[in-house]
Amino acid sequence: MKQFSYVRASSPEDAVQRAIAHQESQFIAGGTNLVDRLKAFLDNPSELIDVSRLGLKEIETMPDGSIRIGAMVSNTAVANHHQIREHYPLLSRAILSGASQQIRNVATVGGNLLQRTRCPYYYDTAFACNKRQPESGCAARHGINRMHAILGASEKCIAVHPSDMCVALAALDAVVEVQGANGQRQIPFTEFHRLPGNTPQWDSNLEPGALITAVILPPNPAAKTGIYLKLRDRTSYAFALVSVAAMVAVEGDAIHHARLALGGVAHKPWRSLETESFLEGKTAASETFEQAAEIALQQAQPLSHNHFKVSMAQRAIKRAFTISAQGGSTA
Amino acid sequence: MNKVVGTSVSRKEGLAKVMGKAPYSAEHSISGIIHGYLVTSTIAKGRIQSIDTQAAEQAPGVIAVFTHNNRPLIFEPDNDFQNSKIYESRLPLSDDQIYYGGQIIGLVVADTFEQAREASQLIEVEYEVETPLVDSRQATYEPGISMFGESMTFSKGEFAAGNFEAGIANAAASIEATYETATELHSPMEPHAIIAHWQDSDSLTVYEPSQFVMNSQGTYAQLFGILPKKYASLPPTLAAPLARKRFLGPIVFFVPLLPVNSSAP
Ligand SMILES: Cc1cc2nc3c(=O)[nH]c(=O)nc-3n(C[C@H](O)[C@H](O)[C@H](O)COP(=O)(O)OP(=O)(O)OC[C@H]3O[C@@H](n4cnc5c(N)ncnc54)[C@H](O)[C@@H]3O)c2cc1C
Repeated sequence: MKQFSYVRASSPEDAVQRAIAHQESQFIAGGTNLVDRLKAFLDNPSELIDVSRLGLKEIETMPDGSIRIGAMVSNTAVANHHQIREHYPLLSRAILSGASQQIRNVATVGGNLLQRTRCPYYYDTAFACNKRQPESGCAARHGINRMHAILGASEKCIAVHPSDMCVALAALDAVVEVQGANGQRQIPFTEFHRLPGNTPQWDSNLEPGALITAVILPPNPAAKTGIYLKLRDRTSYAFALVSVAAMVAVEGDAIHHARLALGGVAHKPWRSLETESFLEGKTAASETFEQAAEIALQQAQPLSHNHFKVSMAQRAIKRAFTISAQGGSTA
Repeated sequence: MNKVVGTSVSRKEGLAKVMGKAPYSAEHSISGIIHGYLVTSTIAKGRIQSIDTQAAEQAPGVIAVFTHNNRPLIFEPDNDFQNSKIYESRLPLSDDQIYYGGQIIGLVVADTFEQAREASQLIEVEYEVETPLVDSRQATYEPGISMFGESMTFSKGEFAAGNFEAGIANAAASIEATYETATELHSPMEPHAIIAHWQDSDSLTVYEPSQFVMNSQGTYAQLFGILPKKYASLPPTLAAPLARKRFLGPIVFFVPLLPVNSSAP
């Protein structure tokens, strides 16, 4: 049996110090992803540092109007928070579309960001996987790659990031606050996760031992019209084939403040800046959104089993923008 | 004749089930229980060249490791539907051949489930890999088993398509509509789990989800060479119909084997 020690960190600083001193350690928060990974023989930490009792459980409004969500706040608490529901309904929707009530009650915001891919070849140690075992190969590329990436993938890895919450956070220009060896820093959400390139073993740009302490949502009046659409094989308790977080503010007929992020299509929540700048100032009309959807998928490189994701994403984008332009829906 | 159609018949165990009081097979606690963990093929077709179980045998808590090299004695059942029925007519661990991915190629028995699972990871298998046939049109149709004395050998079907356009153009009436069926996923609440409890060398109690209790009893009796009446198969609750648990799958053979070889319950 593989032995590991379990310690409870006493403060964020203490957690980071322990993690840096103990290279083979891992943080555990809700454990809903990490424990599964341990059981599947994917991770082999010599120490688990429990960070679930460090506080960091507040959702606060900051003086500049932004909302700061502590890293240990449960997914449920974020989704149900009155200000999130009112001002960022797509975030609430995104969270509630994921996992199950029981899992969301335990899962934390920090853990959600760092949950790992659901690529079945990553999960099955009988197959080659560069993410699990660098330089061992990728069995998914020529395998059953229906669930896999159509954007930003590499020869080494075609896995997708599984989170719903993160897709909404990417569209909302969220900022991740982290505590590292050299103190605190803030990482724009779109720079937090990374594309696989030649090193798919790294999901994010977080330095080893660093702890996520909060996620910050900047004030955003347009976010009220934001939409989260998730398309999947089963209407509940399934990961996205394609998901869309989209919003537009319409003044008169003109669009401003367009935001678009896609889930289920890439190694990270896929923010499409080209689509956003295309939409800026355009008329809110069906053809506009159709063109926007085309631009968003221009670079798509579907695999043998997932050509359908391209048109699925395009239709979902068009639909999400259309609903958003009409004022969105409530959460 | 009792009236069933049109009558609301309560399941005997219905109340217990909706109240969460019906125990699953794996929930029965029997003192001194030991655990088995299956080792399955990671290739779809081929041969096992070698299977090294040494490290697994020495792992903490491990009682035994079974492969095709040391399969305990089990007997070929009639498999005629009447006296016994098993899903796979080839008994598991019969030889070194691999017919499908996930085929059982070994079993680790240990004091705890975790120890058995851990040890299963230490088994090294080398395969001679062959290309599997995955196109049913190229399948060979070998003689199948018979059921109730009738041959169940299937023959290669013929497929033909008429001319839809011509047919519909000449039809007396036609309607056009779209019908959609969402994908349905069949997910039993209870995964396969079996507990076997040998009272003595020829009486056995099995806790398993089953829709076919009497037949299971007969099958176990034949497999292990015991008298059916000495053997009691007592499912605590009947599995819901179509819960993928009608006949005995290859997994079940092993469970009762364990105690025979280790003289523990
Ligand atoms: C059956 C099932 C279905 C699911 N379906 C969905 C779904 O449809 N959509 C979806 O989005 N998600 C889904 N999830 C995933 C779920 O959202 C994540 O498991 C959860 O958010 C992880 O949070 P946690 O606190 O439990 O993380 P943990 O399991 O504790 O940790 C996950 C990872 O993050 C690291 N970590 C945790 N906290 C921090 C921190 N503060 N700083 C640095 N590193 C940290 C850990 O070291 C670990 O590597 C599903 C999960 C399950 C089990």
